[in-house]
This record gives sequence, C-alpha cells and structure tokens, in this order.
Amino acid sequence: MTDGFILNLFVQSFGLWWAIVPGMLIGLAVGILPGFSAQNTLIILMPLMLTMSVEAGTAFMIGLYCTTQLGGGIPAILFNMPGEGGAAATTLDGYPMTRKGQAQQALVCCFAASAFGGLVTTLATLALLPWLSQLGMYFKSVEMVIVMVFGLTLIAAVASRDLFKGLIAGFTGLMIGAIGADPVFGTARATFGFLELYDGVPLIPALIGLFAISEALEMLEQETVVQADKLEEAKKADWKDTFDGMWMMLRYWWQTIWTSMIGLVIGILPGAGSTVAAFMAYHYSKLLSKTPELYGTGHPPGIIAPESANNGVTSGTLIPVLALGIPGGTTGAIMMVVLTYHGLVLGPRLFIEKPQVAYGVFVQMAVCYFFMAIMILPLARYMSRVVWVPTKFLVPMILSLVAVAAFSEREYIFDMGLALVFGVIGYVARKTRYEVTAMLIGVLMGPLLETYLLRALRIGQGDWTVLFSSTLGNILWVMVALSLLLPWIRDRQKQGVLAQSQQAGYES
Amino acid sequence: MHNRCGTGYALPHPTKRGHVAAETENTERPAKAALGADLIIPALGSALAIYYLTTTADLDWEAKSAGLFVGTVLLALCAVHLVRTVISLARGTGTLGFGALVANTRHNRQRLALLVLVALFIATISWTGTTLGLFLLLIAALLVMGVREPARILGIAFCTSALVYIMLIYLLDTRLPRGLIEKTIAAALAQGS
Repeated sequence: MTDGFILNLFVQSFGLWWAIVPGMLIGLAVGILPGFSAQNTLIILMPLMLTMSVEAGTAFMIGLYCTTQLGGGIPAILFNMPGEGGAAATTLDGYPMTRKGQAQQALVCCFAASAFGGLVTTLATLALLPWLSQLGMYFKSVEMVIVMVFGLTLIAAVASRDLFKGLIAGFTGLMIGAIGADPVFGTARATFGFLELYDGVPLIPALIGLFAISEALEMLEQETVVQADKLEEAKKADWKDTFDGMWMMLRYWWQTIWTSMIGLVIGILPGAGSTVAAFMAYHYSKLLSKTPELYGTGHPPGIIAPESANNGVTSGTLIPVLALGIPGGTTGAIMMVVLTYHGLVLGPRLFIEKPQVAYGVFVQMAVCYFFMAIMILPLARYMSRVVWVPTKFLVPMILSLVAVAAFSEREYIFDMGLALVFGVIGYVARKTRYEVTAMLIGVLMGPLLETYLLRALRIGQGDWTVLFSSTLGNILWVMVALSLLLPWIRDRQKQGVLAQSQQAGYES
Repeated sequence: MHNRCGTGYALPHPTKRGHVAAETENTERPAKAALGADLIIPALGSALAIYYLTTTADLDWEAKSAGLFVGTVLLALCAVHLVRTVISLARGTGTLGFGALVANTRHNRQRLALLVLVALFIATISWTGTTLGLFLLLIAALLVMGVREPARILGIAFCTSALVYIMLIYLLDTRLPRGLIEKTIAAALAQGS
C-alpha cells in the first residue's frame, strides 16, 4: 500500500460527493429523530444501494451511517432527548449548556468533536488495520463480561449526586433488561403475557420514554427550553459563538483523540456498540478530569467525550466486516450484503484482491468526516434557534413525533404504548431524582451482561473462576477496580486538603 | 417556582434532601419532604422483581440466575430505602404525601391531558391511520397547551402530519398504520399513474 495509492483513493472519494452528501443529509435527519436508526434506514434503502456501483453504494452508506451518530447529539443537546442510543450520554452536559443559553457552543462542540474524533479514528484505522482486525479475537466471552461490568460501573458514575437512588434506578433498569427470553433455553421470563416482550424490552421505546416523553412532560413548566434569564443572551448568539464552540473543542483536543480511540476499540468488539462506548468515554473523561465536579453542569468535555467516542465506533464496526468477514452488528451485516451482492469476498483476501474497495471504505469515511466539518458545523447557529420556540408549540410536536418514532424500530403499535409507559416512569423518576440515565444503562447492559456471562460459564462448565482465567481479563478486572476506587481516593484526598486548609485558616 | 439540579432535571420545591416537597409550603418553616413520591420508583422496581422471581421460580438455574441476582439486590436496596423513609417519618421530617407530583395544578392537568391524548392516539391509530390520528392529536394537544389561534393550530397540525406522511409512509414505506387518508391518497396516485 503506497502513499500514492491512498492519495488516489482520497481523490476518487471526493469525486463521490454526490453519493456521500445525500447520505449525510438523510443520516442527519435519521439521527435527529429519536427511534430512527441508521440500520433500519439502510435496510429500507438497500435496493437503492444495490443499483449503484460498489464504490458509490458504500460511499452513500458510510455518509448516512457516520452522520447518524452526529445527528443523534442534536436533540440530546437541544431538548435532552437523544436521537440515538449513542447520544444518551451527551444529554448529561449538552442539555445543561442549552439551558444556560449556550446551545450554539454545545452544538459546535458536538459537531467538531464528532468530525475530529471520527477523522482521527478513521486515519488510525487506515494505519493500523492489520493489527486492529486481530483485536476482536482477544475479546472472548470472559473479557466481554468484564467490559459489561465496566459498563455497569457507569451507573455509579452518572448517579454520583445520589448514589443510593442511582443504584435503585440502575437495578430497576437491569430488572427491566432481564425481561424476555433467556439466552440459553429461550424460556420467556416476566413478559406479562406479551409476545412483544419475548425478545426483551426494546431499547428505542425505552430511550424515547425515559428521555423524550418524560422531558416533554417536564418541559411544559417553562416558557422556553432556555432559562428565562438566559433567553436574551441566547438570542444574541452569532458567529463568534460558533468559534467559541470550536475553541472549546480545540482546548480538549487530546481528550477528543483518546476518547475516540475508546470508541474505535469498543466498535471492534461485537455487540457493545456506540451507547456503551459513549458512556464509557464519558466515565473515563470524568474520572481522569481535574474538575470532575463540573461534569453534569454543562461542561464541554462532557459533550466532547461521548460524541468523539460514538463516532469512533463507526470505523471500529467496519473493521471485523472487511478484515475478517464477520459482522459485529446490523450495520456491518448490511454492508456485508451490499459488498457480497457485487461479488466481493470479504476477509483478509479482500485487501489483496480489491484493496481499492477495502481501504476505499475507510478513505470514504475520512472524506465524509471532512464534509461533515465544513457542511454541518456552520449549521449549528441556525439549529440552536429551535430552542427559542415556546414550549406550548414544542411539547405537542415532540410528543406526537416521538410516539410515531417509537413504532419505527420493530414496527409494533405495542412499542408506542411501551414508550408511553416508560415516559411516565421517566417523568416520576426525574421528579423524584432517580437518574433516568442509570435506568437506561441498566436496560441496555442487563441483557448483554447476561448473555456473555452465561456463555462464559458454559465454556467454564459452571466454574466461576473462569472469569479470572485470562491475562487480558485480569488486567480489565484491575481497571474496573481502579475506576471504582479512583473517585473515592480522590474525594478522600480532596477532603484531606480541605480539612488541612481549614485548619491552616484557623491557625493563621 | 422550581429549581434545576445540575443534570437538568426539574425539582419543584426542593428540600435539603432533594425530595419532592409537600404542596403545603410554609414560608416560615421548612416544608416536610413528600416521601410518598420517593417511594414510587422503588415500589415499581420491587413489584417487578417480585413478579420476576415468582414467575421464574420453576425455571432452570441458568435461565433465572441473572434475574435472581438483580432482583435480590433490588429488593434489598428498596428495603433499605423503606427503612430510611420510616425513620424520616418517625422523626417528623417527612410525610407520606406525593407533593407537587400529583398536586391539582395547571401543569399537572396539562400533563395528564397530554398523556390521555397520546394514549388515545395509540389506541385508535389502527382505525384512524397515522396521518389523521396525528393531525387530531396535534390539534388537541395544542389546545391543551393553551394555543388558541386557529391558523397556527391547523398549520402546525397539517404540516407535521403531512411531513410524517411524506417521509415515513410515502417515501420510506414504513408499516405505520394506514387509514382513510393514506388509502385515499394511494388510490388517487394509482389512478393518476
């Protein structure tokens, strides 16, 4: 693979702007609407992609897929309603920034982190593809159990304000996640007699209910989304605020890089996905920050970390598909269908026989992130104005659209009702300070943890020590322990410093 | 009237411990925490855990192990919460009321009306179809929210439902329920072509 070859691919990919840009626009709309996923849209649009050349088809698909991740952050920041699961962590700091009249800066932070993080991971993938493709091989059931336990520690992280209530919310989420057929025998558990719950509680209605419906019910107490005293300030926002947002992201450039790498690694692992990556990046960003107390109050790194991570996932997801011929998720599977339709055999040989396609996919992704930076970033100024609209108009529109959106994932009317039930639960939880984010993490992680745990125990013939049988696994266990202990140690140190300074104050 | 904590969650009448305060707020004395509202989520969680544990009792160990562990921990957490509540009640720092959560306020009436409307929309969507159902839902919801200008109400309802029809039914051909409007348009388009 020569520099000239890659350069040539870049030139070719820029020439495919006519496929990338429409894909991006559809992806943006899909990302903004809660409930509409890139996967479902790609399935619907598959006939269109099959009529295109293989390069144009992948360019369209890549444009749509990458921009969906970015689009999900827009309602998360503006209305506290993640458009995608991967944007749920963005609400934690994005929405408080909007409330403070900094919607434009928050959106620019989100877009810039998404584009920069995505670009970095794509270039890293191009450089390290042979090694990265092996990574998934090291993560077996045991290691995946520990990754999921990692995920569960996030409950403690997001519920730091009231750990006890956070744990109740998290375990209630896990209990909800345990509904449905068990992964070994397929026996229905706690389905209330509903066939629709046999596959478990679907994530999208839970997400829509816990975040979107509950927020809409709460929002109606205010005149506008922005705090009344910050509205005038928000209306004065101009291009300077766009540059402010970019500067916020540039200040945390290193964090953007390493959190996007978390996304890349999580993306390679089967089943984990952008939601896990975004929460994990948020957790580590907070854990390693010098000002963890600012997280949750509208702190830019709280947007940058999840957004760069969920865009990092995009290139990670495609690595096992192209390098090994193994789809780690639905998007990978769709890409596999499109490529095999054109007669390509996926796996290591693809890089020898059709390097222009194998590497071309990642080059198209890099080009897509470049287009994203120049096309979508300036739109933040105009998008942020939607929060000026009075809530008496917004609430009915949000409620009606999300009710329809809940239908889209599985196309069951039952899911619309389920979203409404979750909406009421989410509203009560918010009003009584039970973290809905902790509940969502439980709903998401519960089934994944159970699946991997049972698989690992089956392999270990019921012996629990199998969970401590691999070197990589044990390293991960140490990391889990450290991630739980570090905030506690730091709190103790801070309290010690405070006590010392108070004592010094008395003595002087 | 209400504060917002750092995570952006509204909290009417916050008290020192963050419970929803009782609606009878006295400016002289700090209001007692409405602990009944705080018990709703643990009660729901406990009910689900008990239902899960009782209905999976006969299953194979592997099929129920995860739920058994989660359910047991959840019940223990809820029990501790209940004990804390009882202690607060005994000390006289809280009441078993539901506070602002169920108070007869304009916002709560609006919430209830909106929930009923969305529930009606979901229940009748198979007959009305998505477009007409959405149109009617939006008109009713805007009226509930206090919008009184007919042009605005009809404009928003028409544009939103038309957008949903064009995007999701006409272009993407999703399986959203079809009713009178969708069938009429489909017939008209079929005749035209």
